[in-house]
Amino acid sequence: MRRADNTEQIIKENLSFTASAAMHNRILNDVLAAQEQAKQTKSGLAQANLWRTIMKSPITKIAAVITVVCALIGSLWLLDRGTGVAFGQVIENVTKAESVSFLFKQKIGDQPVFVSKVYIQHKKVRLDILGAQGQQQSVEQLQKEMQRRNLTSLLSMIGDFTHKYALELDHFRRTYKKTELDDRTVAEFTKANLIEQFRNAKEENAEWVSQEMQDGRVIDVYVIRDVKLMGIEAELSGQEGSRMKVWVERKSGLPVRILLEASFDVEGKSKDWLEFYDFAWNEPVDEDLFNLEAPEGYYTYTLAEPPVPD
Amino acid sequence: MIEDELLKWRFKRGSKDALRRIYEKYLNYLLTLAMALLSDAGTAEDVVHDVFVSFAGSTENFKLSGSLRGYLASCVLNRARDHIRSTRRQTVAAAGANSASSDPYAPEQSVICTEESVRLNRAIAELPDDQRETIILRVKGEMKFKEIARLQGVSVNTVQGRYRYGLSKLRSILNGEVEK
Repeated sequence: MRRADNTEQIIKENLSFTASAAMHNRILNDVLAAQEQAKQTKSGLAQANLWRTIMKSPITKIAAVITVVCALIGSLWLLDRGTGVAFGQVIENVTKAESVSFLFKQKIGDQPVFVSKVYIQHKKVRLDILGAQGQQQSVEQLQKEMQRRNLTSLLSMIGDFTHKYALELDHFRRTYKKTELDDRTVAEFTKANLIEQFRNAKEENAEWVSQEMQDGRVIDVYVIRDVKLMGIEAELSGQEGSRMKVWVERKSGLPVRILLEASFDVEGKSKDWLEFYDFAWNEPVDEDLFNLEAPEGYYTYTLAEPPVPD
Repeated sequence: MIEDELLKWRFKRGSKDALRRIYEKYLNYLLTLAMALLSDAGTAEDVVHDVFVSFAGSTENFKLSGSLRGYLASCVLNRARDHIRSTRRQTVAAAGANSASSDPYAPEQSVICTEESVRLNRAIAELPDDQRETIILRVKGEMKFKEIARLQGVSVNTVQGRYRYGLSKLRSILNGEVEK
């Protein structure tokens, strides 16, 4: 028997068990059946309040912002590397940009489409979830409720990555939460690390596909394939449909629309997408939007979650 | 991982695809943990099965702010412990009856593994429960000592001690210095 000088390493590298196809399918069938059964038994709860969905969703609140910034910085970085001199100018324009705001929509699986407005200025980000779209009954209820309360947005997330603080404003409940950001979170939002996420992208995957006229402006359209979105490279790479389309205004050399298409399910059947549009580059954003103080009339809470008001 | 956050979010909302992805992502990881903790393919399959089925049925009440991987690993650990306790009770009750069980690594058990894995697993099986748990959770579960201490309900120092002694004993077993 050979010596085990580095037992730890030996276990790490060699101790591994793999389920056979039969075991895999046997368990999977039961697992999916259990989920189906759980769905049926929750009956009345199936029409869950969409507000709770939004409030409890780390993705809509945080990953959305990460996605936005990734997409912006990453797409331009790729374009610069992949398609030549013209894009050197685009990335330079973006790098020099003092601020940007845009609208952001995301459609993942059978969930409603969430619509948000994003503002980025230096190292400050604000995301306002404006509402949801879709045929679901819960969306309809939410829209009615927003009208009744005269709300223009449901939730705001403000991040100041210089001072390392984030403020979450729940306009529905009129509550706020202020959080100190740890270094890891801050790092995720920083430009360098976001670019790093795209370092392994295939440079040759960016290609000019067409030219369009929009409101008298010349727009160049580019497609970047095999985009690594939010670090989910295993799922996206190699799948048809995981791509980013970028519309760049020729005159300003800046993106006016970005569409990410991908499939988040294992079999690649669903068509999920994220769209960024209505860009406003270099239009100074009102600093009040990044204010980390809660508005008057908002209260904070620490232990139990406050109930959704009637 | 952001991917896991996304999966948690989609799973919570009843996504079948998310559940399938979680299953495919962690099946072999959990199976390896279960095999190392239980040393029996059939029982390991049962434990992993029960963990996933229970997880799948928890959609509505699912709340998890920590790591999905760590959560599933701790579920395997808890079920493995339950099984070990229950088996011990049965063994005592049966007073050694039916002790000659079939080969736990036999092909019909549906677990695919190398000879080296079997050899290692047999060696790990000789360790006391607490040392075995600590080594598996640390090395294969990639958990911090602090997390293991929380799961085992002991201090970090105790966990580190178990880890050290366990590795040392395992090294001896693998080097053939300890007779079975």
